[in-house]
Amino acid sequence: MKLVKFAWIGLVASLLASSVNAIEVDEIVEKASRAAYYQGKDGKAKLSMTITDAQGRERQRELTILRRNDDGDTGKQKFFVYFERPSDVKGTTFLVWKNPGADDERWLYLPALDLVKRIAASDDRTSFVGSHYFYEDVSGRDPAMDEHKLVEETADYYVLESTPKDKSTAEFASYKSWVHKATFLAVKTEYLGEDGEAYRVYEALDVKEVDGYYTVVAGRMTDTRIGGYTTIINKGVEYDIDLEESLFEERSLRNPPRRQLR
Amino acid sequence: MKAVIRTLFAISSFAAAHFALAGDPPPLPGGLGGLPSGLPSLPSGLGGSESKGFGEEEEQISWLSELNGFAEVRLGYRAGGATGYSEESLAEARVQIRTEKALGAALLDVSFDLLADGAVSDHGYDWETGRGVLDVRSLNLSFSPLDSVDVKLGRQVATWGVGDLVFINDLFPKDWNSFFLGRDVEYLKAPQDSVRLAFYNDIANVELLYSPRFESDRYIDGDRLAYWDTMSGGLTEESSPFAVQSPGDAFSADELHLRAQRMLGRYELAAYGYNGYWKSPAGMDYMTGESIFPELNVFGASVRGPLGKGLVSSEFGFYDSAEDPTGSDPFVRNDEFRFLLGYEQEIGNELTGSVQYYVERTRDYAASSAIADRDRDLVTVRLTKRLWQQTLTLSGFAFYSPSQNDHYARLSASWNASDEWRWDVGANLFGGDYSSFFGQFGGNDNIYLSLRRIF
Repeated sequence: MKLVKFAWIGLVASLLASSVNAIEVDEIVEKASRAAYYQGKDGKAKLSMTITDAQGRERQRELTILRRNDDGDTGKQKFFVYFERPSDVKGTTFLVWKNPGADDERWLYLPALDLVKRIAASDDRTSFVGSHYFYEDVSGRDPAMDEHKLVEETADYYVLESTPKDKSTAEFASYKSWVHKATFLAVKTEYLGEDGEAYRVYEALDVKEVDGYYTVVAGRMTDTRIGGYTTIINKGVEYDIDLEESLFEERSLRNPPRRQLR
Repeated sequence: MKAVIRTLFAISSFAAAHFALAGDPPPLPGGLGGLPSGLPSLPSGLGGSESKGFGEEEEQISWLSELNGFAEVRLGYRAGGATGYSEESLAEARVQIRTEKALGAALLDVSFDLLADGAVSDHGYDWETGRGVLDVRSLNLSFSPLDSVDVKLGRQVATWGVGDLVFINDLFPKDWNSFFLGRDVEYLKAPQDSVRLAFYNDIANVELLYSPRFESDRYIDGDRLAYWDTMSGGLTEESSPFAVQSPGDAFSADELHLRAQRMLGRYELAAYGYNGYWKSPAGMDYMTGESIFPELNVFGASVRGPLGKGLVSSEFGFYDSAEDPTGSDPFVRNDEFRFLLGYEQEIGNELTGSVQYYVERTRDYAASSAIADRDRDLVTVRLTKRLWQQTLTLSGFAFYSPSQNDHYARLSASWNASDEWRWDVGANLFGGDYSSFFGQFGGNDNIYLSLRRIF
């Protein structure tokens, strides 16, 4: 009888503890997602990517991203991407309507052919423009796709461990992230394979405060499975620049909004 | 019992969580240290943790860096055995130069190719066909006179419609010689001199493209590629292009393209119209025996959007061959209905597959004596695989016609050895009876190789 009572107390206590924890974890995850992908009502980033392959050879990508959050709290966003380099893709544009919980809509425009190509919903965990970043790293993985656990709190970080609810949505078994307590920026993320080894690591290298929002302006993704790493430097970030929703339409693919891209 | 298991589970996961913490926490990146949150001092090695100021250096821009393009050598070998043609299907060196310049609120877009073509003997330059040493791909001015209006004036390439290498409502000029010879796919589209107006509004975006002078396809005329000549009953030989009548001069023989487009939920809807001429010769002047471009009007529509895990597209067009309203004139091509249904899906890691079904149906089949089959249909399959961090692209595109039992395959491998160097190899393979659409090009089977320096 004593044992049963003890078990009950233990259970109630652990349930209480885990429910308190669960709210806290969700809040951290939500804030981290906001800090990384939803700052301001809209924004602009000028990215310079250096892709270094396993042999040390470098490739260069330069692109400008315009982003606008949907009105309301839907989590929906629209992205417009303009490629500047390498020169054979200069003028190529890319439009994404991000729908959390559903497939994104994507269009690619090839200027030499004047072709607006719609892209079939694809695996979000494949390379973004040939880099070590996945499409999902750039656009944000839907937090609802994973189970999150707060595994440690340090002076600087919440340390989270996240496991995909549906294994087919990811190639990793789990990932661990260090979320900076004051800014909710994920400063480091390790993706672990089935063997528990980290094979893919994201690190924030530099952070700047822009228009009141703390922003990672330099980051690196290293992937030991494919070898090499990609460094992204954000050469120009702005927030709340009043991007009209109509910018995120086919018109901009063919005729990029030069004033906003400058 | 359940309670005990749950408790044990809770304890073990707690323990596991602690166990997983063995790894060192990362040091704070630059920019996060000096926060007013009373954080403890930074891990050693990060100094004062000021932002390191990545990417703040000024960029030097000279007018030379505004020039882009490539230099390329492309060689092709004819493996189909058409007689009378040189063995090289391609032997060319090409330099493309592109630049954009802002002129006030307008944008000037210039792109042209300089070409040394070793596979032809005639190097005479022609603005219209792009033959010779210079092919101007674009020379146009874009501006927006009103918030909701875009204008593009001058030489330009235009594309619309939802087919993949199958065109119904896209009646902009194509260069079929480049396509079948194995030039880069951008050369499938030929430029035209036109004015393009786009009006944007909430109901539908309307685009209008007007060319004062009709621009035909750069069609197969026997000069570079052999085809089956029904008149002589054999394959054509080099330099035996047939005589063709131009439909007329600028402003008398013009062409107009229209499109209205809007989104409906996740689907793109479009309606199209065209008033002009058949883009390749589609009739004969029986007095002179010359080929002609008869008048043509086209009306159509398309839809494209997600379906299941992929993307579905469908397009329809009615080809009104205006000079043969009853369909009984054997010298002018009949009216046609054209229909396309396509589906594309990612089927593996960096692997995309698509299928299309396309059919052309002769409208007045009964009235015409010159047409063997009422329907010509096509099935296309495309597979695209990307490897080596997307630096290598393998692509196979096959056309097969069940009604004519002929086929055409485009195989290609494209490797970006670096941002500057690109290799391409590929093949164009035709099959079927000589009287069939693709079979007639059988003498032109070719393989090609190109090396491109991008600047």
